[in-house]
Amino acid sequence: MAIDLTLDEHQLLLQRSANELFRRRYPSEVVREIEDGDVGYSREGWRELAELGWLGITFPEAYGGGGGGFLDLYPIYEEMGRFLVPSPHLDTVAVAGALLLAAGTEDQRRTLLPAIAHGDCIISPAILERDGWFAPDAITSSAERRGSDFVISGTKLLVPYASSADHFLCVVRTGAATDADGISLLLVDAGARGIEREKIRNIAGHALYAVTFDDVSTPTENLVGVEGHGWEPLSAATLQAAVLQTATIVGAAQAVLEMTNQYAKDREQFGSPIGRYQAVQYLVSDILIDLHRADLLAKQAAFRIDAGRSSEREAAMAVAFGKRAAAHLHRQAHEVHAGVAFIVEHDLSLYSRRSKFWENHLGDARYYEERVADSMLGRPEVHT
Amino acid sequence: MDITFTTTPRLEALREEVRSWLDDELPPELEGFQWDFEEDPDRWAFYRQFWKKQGTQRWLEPTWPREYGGAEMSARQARVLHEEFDRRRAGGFAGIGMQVGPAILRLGTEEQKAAFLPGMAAGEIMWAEGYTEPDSGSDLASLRTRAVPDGDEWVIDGQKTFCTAGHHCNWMIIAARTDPDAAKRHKGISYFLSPTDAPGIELRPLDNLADGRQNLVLIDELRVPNDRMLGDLNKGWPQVWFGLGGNPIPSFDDDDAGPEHAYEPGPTGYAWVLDQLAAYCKATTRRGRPLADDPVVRMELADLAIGVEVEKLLQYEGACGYGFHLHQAIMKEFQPEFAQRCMDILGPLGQIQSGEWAPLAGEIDRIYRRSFGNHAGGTSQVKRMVVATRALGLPR
Repeated sequence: MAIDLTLDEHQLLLQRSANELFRRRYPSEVVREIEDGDVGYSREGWRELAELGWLGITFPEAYGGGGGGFLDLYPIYEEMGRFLVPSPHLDTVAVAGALLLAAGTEDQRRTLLPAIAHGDCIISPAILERDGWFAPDAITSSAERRGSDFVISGTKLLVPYASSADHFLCVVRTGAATDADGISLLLVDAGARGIEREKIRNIAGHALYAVTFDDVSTPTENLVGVEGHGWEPLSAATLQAAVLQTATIVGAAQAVLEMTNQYAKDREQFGSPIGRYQAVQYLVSDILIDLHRADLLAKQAAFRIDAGRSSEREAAMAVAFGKRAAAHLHRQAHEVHAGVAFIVEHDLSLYSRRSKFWENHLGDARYYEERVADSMLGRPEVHT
Repeated sequence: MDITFTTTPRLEALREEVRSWLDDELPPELEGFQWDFEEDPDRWAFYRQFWKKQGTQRWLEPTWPREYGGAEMSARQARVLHEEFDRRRAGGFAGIGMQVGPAILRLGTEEQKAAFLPGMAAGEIMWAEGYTEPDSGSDLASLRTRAVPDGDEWVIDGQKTFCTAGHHCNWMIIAARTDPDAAKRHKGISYFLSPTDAPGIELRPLDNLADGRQNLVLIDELRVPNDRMLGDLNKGWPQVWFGLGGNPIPSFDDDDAGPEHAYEPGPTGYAWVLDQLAAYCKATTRRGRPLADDPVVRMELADLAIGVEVEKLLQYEGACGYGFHLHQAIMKEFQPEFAQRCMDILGPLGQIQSGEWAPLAGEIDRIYRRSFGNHAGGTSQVKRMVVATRALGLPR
């Protein structure tokens, strides 16, 4: 019997290194500057992660990676949350990289994984569309075969880092009759003709774009996985990536708790620190309770993924809860801070605005609660 | 980081032994007994015998030393044992004062250990708890029951209340003030052990919302010999209440070299209830489709499942010795929420308590009513206050 909920020495070391690095590189002024800039992340920071081996940390050595396990990423993501590090890591490494490993051709892996690991390649998944729903039935962008190419048409929304991406991983509908879900995954060179990007102003200040594909050609060898069977590998990769995003939520929550707890001790009203009032104590301890539960669920999921055990149910629980917790704990933090954090100079809103991105990226809480329900009740039949 | 349950051929042999013993001794209709929420005399009579047989197997206190009636089981052996008892929903050994066992193991004199521990492990001694008073609930250290020395005895006067199932118990542990002048009020409290049928103890019934009986305990010139004080004079609060004093409880290793293999323990407690509820939703049709296909119900069940999973993880974490009050706060607040959400899913039929129309044989009704007893051992608000002031360092 082994029941131990702590990270091992190696992972704790990674956590300390990430903490020290991000603390130095991403004070809140820098986070604000990046938010206002065009790129949406720090190119130097990205190179630094490559040098540390953290971009390819989970890729096999044969593809220029570090051969590490899923749990090696967990502490890095937690620290990215604590310091609000804006980074294409999740989309490029945890979604696209993992998908290539799981479903890509040998050629795709040999070309792209070392490039990602070296910091030379950013891949942005292009998934959501105008209905805003993370599910195969919401995908209307299409690709049809024309000679040795697929030709893609459609508009993708909330595509991260589209202005810096070297490739898009475009989720499209292809029409073969033998399709499982009718969804195919296509790599598209970001410089291809017919691609238009438009930056989307969003609450999180994240680098999010609308990307329109107007008869954009990509060679058929850029198909990732099996034509018409794309949603399953995509949802498996995004589920695991979303667990890492939950670690980010946990890391951010620790910073928010620290900030809120300190404020409750320092701020005096009615002749006493407000943290003496039990109404306020409930709000502050809500944050601790939310973050503790999210942490337990996310660590359990991450451990199971790392150990190669069945993890779908546990991962969906962690992600669904993490997203709900993110919304709740930031609300409680604002209640405690009241007026002072309503002013944009205060750092709390950096966290609470960013939270809205985490709550929705790669599927919202409802989507993951539906996955939990699937695990208990099976998929519902379609009733008309 | 590891949450893997592993077992060995020897542990599985133990599991098989326990399973087959339970098959022989526990008829299915007697599953799910809860001593603190039942007064049915037939079920009580059955379990009194059942616990004695369990004691003969040394399975009532399996991790205790053999000389006191235990089986010197290791933690993982005891876990396997309890998994099987939980799987069959066997009623646990009665007595809210049972934590007195570890306290006696730690603090008791040799004579006290010999007098009480074997009887407890045999299912003969059940402990009632005399802590809470009418005016001292969450603020237990304000208790006013007095114990005054008189020769080689103490004379105790006062009132205790909410003494759960006390009328079924033959012994009671009583917290009383022995130094009324102590500078800090929790420094003058001692603990005494008394038979419940001693002259000077009267129990008056307080029936609770969940079919259990608690008791108001009137203590009038109760005489307790000196050697029935547990722990040191005036040190009862830190020694017994916080359980910190005295020698550590012995823990035993097994020399089971394996081989180990992984397994997933079956659902117990809330997880078991949730499985029943999921089955009910699959079997029930509303709006022309299985309730299990209703999107709102699916969301609610998913939320409940996540809460149950958290509780399971908190228990694992508790086994590693993390923050107790944080866990208590979370679990106490979850209890009524779980019950209400289950009621929401059942709808109107959830009101039915028994009989053929009662969903889940009335289990949700029972869980709902029991959830109002989530204050036992401290209210959720007190747990929150402790979290806020101790874990977060907010001002008191």
